[in-house]
Amino acid sequence: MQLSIGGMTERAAPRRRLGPLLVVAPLFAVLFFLIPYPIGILLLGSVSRVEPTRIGEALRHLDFSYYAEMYSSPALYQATLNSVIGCVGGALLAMLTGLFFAWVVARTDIKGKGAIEIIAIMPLFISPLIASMAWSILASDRAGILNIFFKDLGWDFRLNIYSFTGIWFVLGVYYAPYAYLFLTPALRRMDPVLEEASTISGASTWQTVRRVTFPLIIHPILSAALLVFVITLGLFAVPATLAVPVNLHFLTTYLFNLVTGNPPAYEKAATVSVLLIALTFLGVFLQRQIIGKRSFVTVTGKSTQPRLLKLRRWRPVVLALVLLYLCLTVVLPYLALVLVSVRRFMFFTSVASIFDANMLTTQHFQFVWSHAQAIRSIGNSLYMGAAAALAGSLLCFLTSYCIHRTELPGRKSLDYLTMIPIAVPGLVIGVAYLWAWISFPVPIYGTIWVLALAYVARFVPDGVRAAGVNLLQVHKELEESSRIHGGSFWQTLWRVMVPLARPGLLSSMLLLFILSVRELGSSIFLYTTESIVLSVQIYNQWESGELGATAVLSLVQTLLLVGVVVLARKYVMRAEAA
Amino acid sequence: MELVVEGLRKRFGENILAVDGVSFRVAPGEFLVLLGPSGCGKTTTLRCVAGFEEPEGGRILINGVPVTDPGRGVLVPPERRNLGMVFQSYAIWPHMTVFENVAYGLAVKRRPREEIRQKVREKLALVGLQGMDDRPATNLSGGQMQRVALARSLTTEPGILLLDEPLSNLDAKLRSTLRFELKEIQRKTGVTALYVTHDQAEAVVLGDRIAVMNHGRIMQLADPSAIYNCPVNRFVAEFTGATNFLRGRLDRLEGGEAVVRLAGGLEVRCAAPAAAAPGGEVELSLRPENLFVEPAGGPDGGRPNLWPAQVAKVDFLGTHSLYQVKVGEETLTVVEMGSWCRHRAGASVRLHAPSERVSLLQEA
Repeated sequence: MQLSIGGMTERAAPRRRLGPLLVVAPLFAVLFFLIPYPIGILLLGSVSRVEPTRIGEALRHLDFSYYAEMYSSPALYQATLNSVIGCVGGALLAMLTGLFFAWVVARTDIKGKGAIEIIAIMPLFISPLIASMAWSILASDRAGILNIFFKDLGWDFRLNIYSFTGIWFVLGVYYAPYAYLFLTPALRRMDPVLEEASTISGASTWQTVRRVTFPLIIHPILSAALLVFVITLGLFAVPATLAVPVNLHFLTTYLFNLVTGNPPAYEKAATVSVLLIALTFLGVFLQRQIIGKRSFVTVTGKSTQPRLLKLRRWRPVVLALVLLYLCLTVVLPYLALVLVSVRRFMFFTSVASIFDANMLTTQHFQFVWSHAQAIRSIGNSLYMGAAAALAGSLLCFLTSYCIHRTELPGRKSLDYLTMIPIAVPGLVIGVAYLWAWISFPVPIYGTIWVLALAYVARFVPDGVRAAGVNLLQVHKELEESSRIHGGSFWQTLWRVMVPLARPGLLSSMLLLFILSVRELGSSIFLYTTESIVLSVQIYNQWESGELGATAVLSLVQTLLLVGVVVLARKYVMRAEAA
Repeated sequence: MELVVEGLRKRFGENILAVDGVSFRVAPGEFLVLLGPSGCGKTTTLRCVAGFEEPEGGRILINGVPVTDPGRGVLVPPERRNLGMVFQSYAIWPHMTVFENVAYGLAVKRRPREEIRQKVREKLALVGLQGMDDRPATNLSGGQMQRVALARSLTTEPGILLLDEPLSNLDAKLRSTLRFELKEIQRKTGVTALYVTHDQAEAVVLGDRIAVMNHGRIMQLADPSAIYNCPVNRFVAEFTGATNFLRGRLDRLEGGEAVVRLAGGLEVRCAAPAAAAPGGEVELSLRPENLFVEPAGGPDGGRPNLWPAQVAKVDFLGTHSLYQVKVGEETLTVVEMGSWCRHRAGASVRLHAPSERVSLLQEA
């Protein structure tokens, strides 16, 4: 025994120094080229007269005139204002809608909570592009199906989705799930004793809500609103479909025009990107501050079930609101898409004409089927979605493992590195990649792989967070127990960590897949005719006015995602049951 | 195998010195318990021995071979220390069966299947889980999980077994039966054991010796009886059980005994520690169960430490009674076993404190 331990001692010392480096260094290298490098190039490009990929030369020719020029331009000022107005309004509405659902699910005695919870998060699976296109079919001021319906009924009332109200509405209902997911735990965790103490002191229900409940959840509420603000600020699809038609520009559409103009104004686009990053960062920063200040009195850990409000005669009202939400987010938009996909022309004169059998056609499906690029885009989306999901979740798992489960030097910096993309909208990542990889020695630009890389970069924060939650659920002693009983680092990872983390690993792959297939902001700058992906194809189809094909492709994308989710859940569940 | 820990020091962050110069030796086959309140450094010490923590200073030797020696850059990884460990959370892998859990240590060493099968059977029988091989590990009670964890820690036939509060998640009844079983299994296998707990009753039953720890240091390292009867300081005396403290001056040494004079003039005789010198301020510890209340007026038989006293208060606790007894200016707590209490509040009595059971604390 003595001998063998002695032998080990000799080998152990040097190995300890090298091991961590072998794990951390590649992670750093990969993350560096995915995130700080392209963004650094973008920043450099905004202050240099020279092509920023020639870093040394660019640094010698610094020039801040782009900022001077852009930041005094009224157009940029207007776009910033529009973005803020649109996103603040959308965030507030989303917060209220999310709060409503969180309250219904966590604090009322309503029946069928399982179904309501699903309804509350369903819009997460619908891409904002599809949602806003469907709503423009439903509620465009002149030809919107709903407006024709109102006309038939003899009402004077008309909807106009091409307006701030329209954008607030779309953002408000489709981003409510983010607020809902954020607020539900806060409402659930609240110790019922705090409210009971108020009631027992003689306060009415309303007084209790106002004086106790509300102050206790004001921080989560603000935080949820900021979260939605930050997400929607970087959104391209919604303003592009709903604001641009009436010449309203948001920061993202403004940025898009700069890059796609002739000639492309990359330097100016870079300064706008910096502004977007700054605003997003401000939002993220404020949100973190608020979470940090959140009082933890509500979190007692022992509280069982919060007091449930008896709805009694209000139950039908609440249920009606839930169903209305389902109609607005899912039923109506998809009915509209289905309708458009099987009709010869988009324009209706009356409600009756909607059901005119003579107008039915399969021509749009045939068109898509024979459209080589459309078919290719479907394949590319699946391919890149899968690649990003596999590579991304592996990267996120390893990174998260280093951050949470090791004492490796540099793990804190890894953590910060993976958080950068939170403050970088997808569109900006697209511009940065466009620029940074064009002259990169390894030919990535122009290939389909640049898309997968951009997806991984964009969704690293989501992936790392999901993996972290997953890892933290695996008790550290389960690992230590393997080490002490003779399992090496790799044996432990393979025999203990991977099997235990597998369900979480699969669901984070699924998450990355869905996000990647839906992705538009980065893809729209990085695709070529060969590497075009489905969401870009849909957007282009829409831009060129081919509504029928747009609808068909939107349905295809939705069915693909739903199909993959269903299959994956089935597979994961079966694996769990075994 | 023998375990030696020398001058171990471990710091967390800038200011927290979790382990501050801990040294001890566990002889082959010995059962040593590290006892102390939470945050005293006992678990950190154990984790340093396991190789999960790297200390800043000191050395750890297994059978004379350094496995942790920061001074020389030696840190043998946990898997190569030939240890077994039972964790507080059991740490039973939920994705494996009972058999796979117990077989793990041999499986990662790629031992022949037959050997694994035979050894796992043997260990499962040792902990009383015969025939449970194919049970999924999640389908076990807390006590069974702890037995699986114990079997798993023994399959590789480790030289040293580490136990980190293994019984603290079990209910009281199970805890007391498992305590004796654990001791029995350790005796049978002859494995050297290092056991961490904050429960003094557990420590007394299990330990051949006990190291009482506080603030990252070992306060006293001795056999259970010495820890209980001759605590070296106030902390050890209090942590190992209820006790009465008396302050006084060491008046003189007489016939191998020390005589301590209290502020109120009362004289207490006790066994004199070697270093005792008259004149200094000292503190005495008198365990409530080592004090006896007697009716007033009986023969004293020349016994020392027999004082006239008065019962100030009686608390009847079912299996025993607690008296608050006033002696001079002091009030002492006395335990009387049995379900009948023999004295009433207000009664004039005598209090007897046998001198060999009074301990003079060596450190204030």
